[in-house]
Amino acid sequence: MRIMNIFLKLKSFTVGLLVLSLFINIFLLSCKKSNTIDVGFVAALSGRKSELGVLARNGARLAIKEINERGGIKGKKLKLIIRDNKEDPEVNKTVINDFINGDIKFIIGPLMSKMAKGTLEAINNKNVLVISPTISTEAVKNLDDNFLRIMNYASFQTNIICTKMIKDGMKRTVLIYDLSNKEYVEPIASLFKKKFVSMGGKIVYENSFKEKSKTTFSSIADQIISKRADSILFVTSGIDAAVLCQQLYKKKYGIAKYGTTWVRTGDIIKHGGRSVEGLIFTNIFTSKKKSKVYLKFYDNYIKDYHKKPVFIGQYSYESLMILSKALKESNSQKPAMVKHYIITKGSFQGLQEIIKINKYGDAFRKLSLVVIKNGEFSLL
Amino acid sequence: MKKNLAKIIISSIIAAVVLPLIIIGIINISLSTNFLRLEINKKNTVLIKSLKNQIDHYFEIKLNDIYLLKEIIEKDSGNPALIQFHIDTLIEHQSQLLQIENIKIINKRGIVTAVSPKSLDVLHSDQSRQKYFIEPLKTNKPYYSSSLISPQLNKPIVIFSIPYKDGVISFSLALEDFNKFIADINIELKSQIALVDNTGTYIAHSHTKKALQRDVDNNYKSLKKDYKGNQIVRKLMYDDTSMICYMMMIKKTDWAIIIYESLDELYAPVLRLYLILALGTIAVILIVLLLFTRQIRRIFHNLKEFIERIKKISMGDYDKFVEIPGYEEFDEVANAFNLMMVNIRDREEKINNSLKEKEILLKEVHHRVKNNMQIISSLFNLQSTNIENDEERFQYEKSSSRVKAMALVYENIYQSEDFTHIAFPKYIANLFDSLIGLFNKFDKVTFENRVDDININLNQAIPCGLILNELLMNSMKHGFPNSATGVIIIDFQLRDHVVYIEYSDNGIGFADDIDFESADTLGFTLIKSLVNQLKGTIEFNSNEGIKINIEFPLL
Repeated sequence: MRIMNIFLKLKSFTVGLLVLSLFINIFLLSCKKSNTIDVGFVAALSGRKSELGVLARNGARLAIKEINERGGIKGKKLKLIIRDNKEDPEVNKTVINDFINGDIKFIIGPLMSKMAKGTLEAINNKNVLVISPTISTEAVKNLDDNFLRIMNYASFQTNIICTKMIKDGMKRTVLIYDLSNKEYVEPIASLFKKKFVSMGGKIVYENSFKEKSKTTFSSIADQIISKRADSILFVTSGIDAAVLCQQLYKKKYGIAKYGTTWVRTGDIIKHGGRSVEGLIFTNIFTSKKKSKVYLKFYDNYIKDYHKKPVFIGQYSYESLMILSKALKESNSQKPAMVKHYIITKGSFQGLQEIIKINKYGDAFRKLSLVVIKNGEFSLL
Repeated sequence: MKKNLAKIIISSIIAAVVLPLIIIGIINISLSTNFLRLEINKKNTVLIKSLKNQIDHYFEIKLNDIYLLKEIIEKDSGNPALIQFHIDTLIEHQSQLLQIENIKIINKRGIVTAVSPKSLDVLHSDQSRQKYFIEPLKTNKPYYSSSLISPQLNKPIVIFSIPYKDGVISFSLALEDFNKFIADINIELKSQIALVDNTGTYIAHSHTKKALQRDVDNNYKSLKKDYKGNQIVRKLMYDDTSMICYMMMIKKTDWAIIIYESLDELYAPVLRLYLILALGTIAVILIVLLLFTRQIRRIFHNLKEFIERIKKISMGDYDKFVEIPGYEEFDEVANAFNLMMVNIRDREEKINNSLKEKEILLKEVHHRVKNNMQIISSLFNLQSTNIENDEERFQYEKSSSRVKAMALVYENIYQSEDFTHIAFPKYIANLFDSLIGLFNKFDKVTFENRVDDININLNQAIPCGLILNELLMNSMKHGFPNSATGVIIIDFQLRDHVVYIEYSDNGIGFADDIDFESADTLGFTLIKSLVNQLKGTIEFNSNEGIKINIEFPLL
């Protein structure tokens, strides 16, 4: 009967509609899933030295924002998945494994050299590419692995600062280093001792903060004064350097102060006040005439975070920019292809200078020497 | 164009059931969403104000302690031991809310002259580059730092500093209380509550991790820009989720409280309601359609039966009454129809009876006409037996034959089924048999009857029969003299409602001098007159016999 035909048509129409909506949903879900490229970010975001991680995270976020505003990677947005390794290598390894299990193919971080070994173990034979903005330990250099970095080896800055100290006529120096970041600190301390002595200098006192909980900074200062040292080299965070400088300043002991790039973290000027005046340290290359891209980065960073960017934010930003370029140019989202592009190209324009990356994924870039003068950082 | 009942029924169902359900659903959802939004607004407005009051209250208590300390220190400014005693006392005996972790007395050169808890590392250190030293001296106003992780305590603090006559007093305030307070509220509310400093950095957050990691609220800047002193309510994205956001500034510290409520979670009860309503609507629609389908199938099935019954009744089958079960209205229709059928059946019976009577009467009339005509014909025959002159006797015989031809029509009429038409082949055969006997030509003349099975009504049968009677008499009388033999052929056909008669014989034919148009013998006159009466035409031919073609329209 005609009425039944109409009902049958209605039934077919409803079933058709349901099937169609099912297909549309599957299509939309699949579109949604493949419309982003997840990038893991791991750093110490809590703990005493978390300032480093927070600043690096800010730089990475800014890079992601800018890349996505420019249309992402061939229409796909980058999504930053941020995880805290709590300054603990084991936690860091777990985070990296979580990223791998979560099918994240690209990771930015970690930042501290003590995380390098565990990271390499976690990514061994895995389909993932790690780019560290700041790990500089010599322990992982010249390895053909999926671990790239954009900061020089530690020895590079050691040579520069050691040469500077000798040039400034330093003979009796004190070496203060923080072994909590052993992989970074040890090669520097070891190389420095060797080089400084070979160039005619003498290490009159050294402290690696092994007994930090039992020793006050004031007592370390007393030790330094008692050794009549003419100079001091900090291979520590900025806060530790500042506190020790304060003690020397209080005791009115005039001493030439030097540091590696690490002292640039943790608001050393604020914490150190006048006591850190004259401190010389290696820092990222800073041209007197700033490039447009750097100025844009600088302005955007201040706009978003109400603070001036420091090297760690810049390196983190540059790591993502190199990854973004490699993803675009290699026309692939396979870590092996992206890595191949980076090491084959071998040279990338950073915010201020050229970053060279060799076939092992180790970076070479210029460094500058900076001095704290009248409460500001000045290029030497 | 006639409307389709089924479509009308479906449209009516949609109009009467589905549309109201959808409209009610939309109104219901709209009202419940609106109600929920108002409730959430009310709840969050109360919450944000209460939080603001709580934080103000924390500071109120703490500021009382701090300004009291300031007064005492200013009074004992020349006595460092007393100052140390005062700050130690405050640290030890402070109220529990918003713990002061550390107090520093800083002279105008930026050197720490007293610190509590005591710390050799901090005492006499230079704080001249710290904002918490520079700002109060410069503006002569209290200063609140952004949140930071205390290097000594490893937990989030803000530094609050106030100017005093010999320099600056700074206080490190632990934010744990705020984080704990907010985390506790959050367990019950499941919304995200944040306390941010003037850079948008989290001081406290219901996800404590965000505060510990000094995360920055990306929405803060635009919210602050639009803040005019009253609570801001806005929909925006937060943590990649669509949120409704409430923001209120805390004037004293230039901080802000932000509450985020996930729209997905917020509308989850409404979405559940949507789902229930949608499923309910679909269920109701399906039930209604099912019931209607069943009922409509019954109705249409009964209607189909009804129509079949009507068709049978229209064909005269009155044996079975109409039955439409299930509905009172249908019963009424069936009863009315059955009553009508009984009336029609009774009336038809009466008409049939009456018709039968009339048929008998008509048959009787035709029978009597035939009998009378046969009497007349017999009278002519009787009369003719007394006439000796052959020609005169033949005239009587012809008259008798003519009357007989007419009687034969009536005989065939009353023997027919409808008393109006006669079967012409049979009539012609009877007519020939009657005439061949009259002329005693049994062995001489044969007859070839090529007549189609045609029925002719009474009005045309008599003139047509008379014409053929004349022609047959003519052929038998004149066509085959001296015992000559021959054949008479009557070809009688009906084509397109026109009767075509071809009458022929192979006799001697007409005399050569006869003019068919002007011949005034009774026979010809009668034939022509009868053809005119039939509104037909006639054509005579004579060549080795005769051949006459007549045609007239069949009525």
